[in-house]
Amino acid sequence: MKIGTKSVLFIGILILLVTNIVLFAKGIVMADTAQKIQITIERLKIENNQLQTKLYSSSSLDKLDKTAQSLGFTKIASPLYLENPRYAQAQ
Amino acid sequence: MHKHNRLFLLSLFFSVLLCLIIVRLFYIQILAADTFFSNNYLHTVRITPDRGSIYDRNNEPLVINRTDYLAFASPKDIKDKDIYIKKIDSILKIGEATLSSRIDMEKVWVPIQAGITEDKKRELASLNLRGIGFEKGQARFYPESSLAAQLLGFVGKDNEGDPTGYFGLEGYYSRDLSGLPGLFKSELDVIGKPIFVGVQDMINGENGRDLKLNLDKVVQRIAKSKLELGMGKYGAREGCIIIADPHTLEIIALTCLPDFDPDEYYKFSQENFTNPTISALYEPGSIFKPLIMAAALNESVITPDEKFNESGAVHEGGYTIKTWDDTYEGVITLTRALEKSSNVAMVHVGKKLGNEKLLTYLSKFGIGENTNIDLQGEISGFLKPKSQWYSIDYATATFGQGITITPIQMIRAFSALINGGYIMEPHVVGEIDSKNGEKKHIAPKIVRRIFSEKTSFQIRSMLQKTVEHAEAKWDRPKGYAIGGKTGTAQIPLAGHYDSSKTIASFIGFAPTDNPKFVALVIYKEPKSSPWGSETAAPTFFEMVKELLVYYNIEPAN
Repeated sequence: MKIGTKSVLFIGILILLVTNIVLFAKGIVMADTAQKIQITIERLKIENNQLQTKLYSSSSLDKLDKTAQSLGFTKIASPLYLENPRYAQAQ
Repeated sequence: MHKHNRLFLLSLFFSVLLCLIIVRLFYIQILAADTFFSNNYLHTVRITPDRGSIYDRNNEPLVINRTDYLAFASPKDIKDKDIYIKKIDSILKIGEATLSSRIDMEKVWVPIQAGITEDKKRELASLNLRGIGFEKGQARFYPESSLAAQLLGFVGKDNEGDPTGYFGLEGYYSRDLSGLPGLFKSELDVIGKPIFVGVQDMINGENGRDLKLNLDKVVQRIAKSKLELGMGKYGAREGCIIIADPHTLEIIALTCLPDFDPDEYYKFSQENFTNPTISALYEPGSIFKPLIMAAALNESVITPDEKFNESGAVHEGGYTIKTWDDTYEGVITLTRALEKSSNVAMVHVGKKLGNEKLLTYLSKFGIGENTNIDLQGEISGFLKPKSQWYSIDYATATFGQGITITPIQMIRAFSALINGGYIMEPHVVGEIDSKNGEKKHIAPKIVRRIFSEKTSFQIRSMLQKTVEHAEAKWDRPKGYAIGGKTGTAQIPLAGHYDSSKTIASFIGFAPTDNPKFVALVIYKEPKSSPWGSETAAPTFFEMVKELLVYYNIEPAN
């Protein structure tokens, strides 16, 4: 009987020891993965922000105005007001 | 015996050792707990919230955040200071002497420069220098540059070095935009990796709320470009344009010059930061006449076609009041009086209204009262008490002199003329959006009603005729019903008026039957001509041509 109890205790402690080591090792791996993911998230946030800034900058009215001028799109000074639009309306 | 003595001594030795350990533990854990309690593995990180962004009414960005960096030096890791400074200055270009003075070799951490962009950071990192590091931060980015500088304000630092808004919307809505910081407690191992079985606590913060304005970026640009042209053409010292929806008093555009670059606000004088449309008082001059005319119409003491004999100058309280050009047309209607901006006719209208009612209406217009516009820095001005009014004051008030208002008060009161009689609360922001999806819509607010619908209709008609029969020949868009009034107010200086300096203005709206917008143009001290009809009015009509096309407003006929 005494031998049986000692064996059970020994095996139990061995199992707990191995489980502890495995969990500890997994914990370290998870921590490493978490840190890498965190770094990737930070990098993507920064890239996202840069793209957003570039996009808004490119589509700003100021930039569009300068681009239009450089391409020769001059401002239409004012619409042509038809005093007698019967021909336009006839179409 | 000897054996027993040795065993005893050994036991005694270990007992004493044990007692010492217990005493020492008692000292560490109980007596000196504060000194010794620290978890060297527990790191607490403050999570800085993202500042809210600002968009126009069409969700176009006006202010967003961009990532920037603080470059710092770790002097203890620098091998050769001269080479280090040379290499860094080749990219940052702030001067080797400046850099050298900043890097104190006795210190552990020294800031080199803040506000470094991602590209610059990459260039510095590629140098592979020892002793340089970067701290990530956040800065404001203005895609439209200084398009709405005074309206937006800027972000600086408070006494504790935290970002805070100043002036305009950044100042007024600083709390909403700032958000709340969070806290993250994490146990890390010696190489900085989290220990999952240890403490991992997070107190969630809240990112700042986004503001969606009533402002239209395109209309703002139209207004600013016309103002810039006008300032150059007329040589004015200052200028402002406000465009609003007269029914809701949503501010669609608001621009003043000179202004500043919010990205580099520190390079500009503080004078440029204040928004004259809410922070500066001026005597409105003739653009105030329609308000008095409407008050008299509302009280049914006059009619638009009522006759008045404009025979000459009038005398009041020892002063002589003349028309602007000292010409008199004899018997004219009050509509004609408004068309020709007759001061003497307005004095007559004021007398018919009566002093009591005049004062009451000045109060109803909101003179001396904050409009509660959501911008930082508004002043209310002052309406002096009845006991301080003399007969000349009542007379001059009828043509907008001797009383002071801010431009925003003026456009608010004028809007009441054309929107059916309602004094509205002006608003720049239309909606506040939280990151969790909550949206707070800011609805238009009626402060009070001061005119009837009939009065509103009558005065709109009169103002349309004022534009159509104006003495100045403006380049008006044909086929459109536009109403408005010019103003040329002398500037008071040390108890008298300076005849050489004026505030030239024009206030107008279109189309007259159902106004889509109301706009106020003001030039301070224009050099080319002192008259509103020759400076502010042409700017107004140049702007209106573009607005009519932008809003797809059909001609009246």
